[in-house]
Amino acid sequence: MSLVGRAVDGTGPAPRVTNDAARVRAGAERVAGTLDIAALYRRYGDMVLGRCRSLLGNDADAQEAMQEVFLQVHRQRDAFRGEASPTTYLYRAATNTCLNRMRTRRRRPEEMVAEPPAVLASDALVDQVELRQVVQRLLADEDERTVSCVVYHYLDGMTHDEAGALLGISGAAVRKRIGKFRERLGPTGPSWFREGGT
Amino acid sequence: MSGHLSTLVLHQYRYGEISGAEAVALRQHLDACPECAARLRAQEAERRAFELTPMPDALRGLDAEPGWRRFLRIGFVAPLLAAAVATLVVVPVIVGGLGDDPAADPVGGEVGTTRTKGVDLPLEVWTDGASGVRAVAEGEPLAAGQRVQLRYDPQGHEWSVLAGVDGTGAVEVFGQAEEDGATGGRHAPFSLVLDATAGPQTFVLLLSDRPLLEDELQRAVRGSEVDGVVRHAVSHRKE
Ligand SMILES: [Zn+2]
Repeated sequence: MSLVGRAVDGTGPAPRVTNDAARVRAGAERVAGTLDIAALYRRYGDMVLGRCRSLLGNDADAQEAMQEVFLQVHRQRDAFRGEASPTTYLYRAATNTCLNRMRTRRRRPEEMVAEPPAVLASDALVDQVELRQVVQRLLADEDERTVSCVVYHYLDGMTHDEAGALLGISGAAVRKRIGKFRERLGPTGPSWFREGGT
Repeated sequence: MSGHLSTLVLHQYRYGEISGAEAVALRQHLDACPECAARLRAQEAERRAFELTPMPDALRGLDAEPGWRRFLRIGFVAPLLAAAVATLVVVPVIVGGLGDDPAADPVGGEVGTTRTKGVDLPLEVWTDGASGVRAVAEGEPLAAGQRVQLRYDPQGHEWSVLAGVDGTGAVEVFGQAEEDGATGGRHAPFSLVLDATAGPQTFVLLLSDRPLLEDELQRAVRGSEVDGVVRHAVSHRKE
């Protein structure tokens, strides 16, 4: 293709000096110089905040975690740029950030939030308060990956394959981890953990 | 578990990341499943609430931090960026200027692009004039306040860098992009507004098959030879 040809004879698709939003979006995540955190925040902040709220259970913690997620993206622009889906990347980053915070919070019980968590029932497949409590307990003795499997599968309603794709492992591996987790949980866990998962 | 749509899938749907047959199946599920439809509505409601809340200061301030300045260093004007944020168009202001000596090359390096009509150009400057959008012709001066966009061809390379060098020799790296290994012209995903620093404005395209480190990048933009880097540049005087 000849750029000059286009410039001279005016054929070819009309170039734009100001890109349409879709094209800019596609490009913005690929170009480090235009990885504009403010713009990223405006576009995806609601999703990240929602994710943080659903795991942390209160708005103040969720706000802090959300900021942490975007600061992390800012620090790790190269990793972010390599990601095909900003949604997936940010969702996973938010989940990991929250689980880390919950783990830290567990070690420092005096800093635990006293207020009852806000339940976002509309976005829940299971009882989120109950799940948060279970996740909090899980963080003590399950490995991080298993906890992530549990969160993606039970809280977010992902299939084993979907959760595996997000974690970089196979769907079968997710199924196995969740199966073992359920075995360990025995008859004491909430009913929805014991019911069959897909 | 329940065969419902996952929370992430609902987000991806909202953000337009799902298309084709998958989107059709998804819409069918939403039509048939009040529970998932309600969850999607809840996400949309959260979106609307989110849009009304101000951006946290910690994120607003990021633009001024070194990591970001690394790319948009000179004459960066916050209000322009704020206006551009809505569409993700980044508008750095290049410190350019009054071209008193069109022949001067502050870069000091060799200009790799020969502007010959009818030949593929790896780097071009485009602008929107009264007669529509067009490539800036060879030897045509640029003006302070003029909005331009770069059009470049990665020529099959894996990585491209776009940068500017103003009349004082200051380098501004606009961005480094991972390309798809394809050949063909494409517009940079940002536009630039020139400001009034004196001297010619040079635009530089670096092509390589690996991401460049900051110091390599700076050297290559200025015209030093860097292993595995192909440099193209175009200069326009400023009026
Ligand atoms: Zn459903």
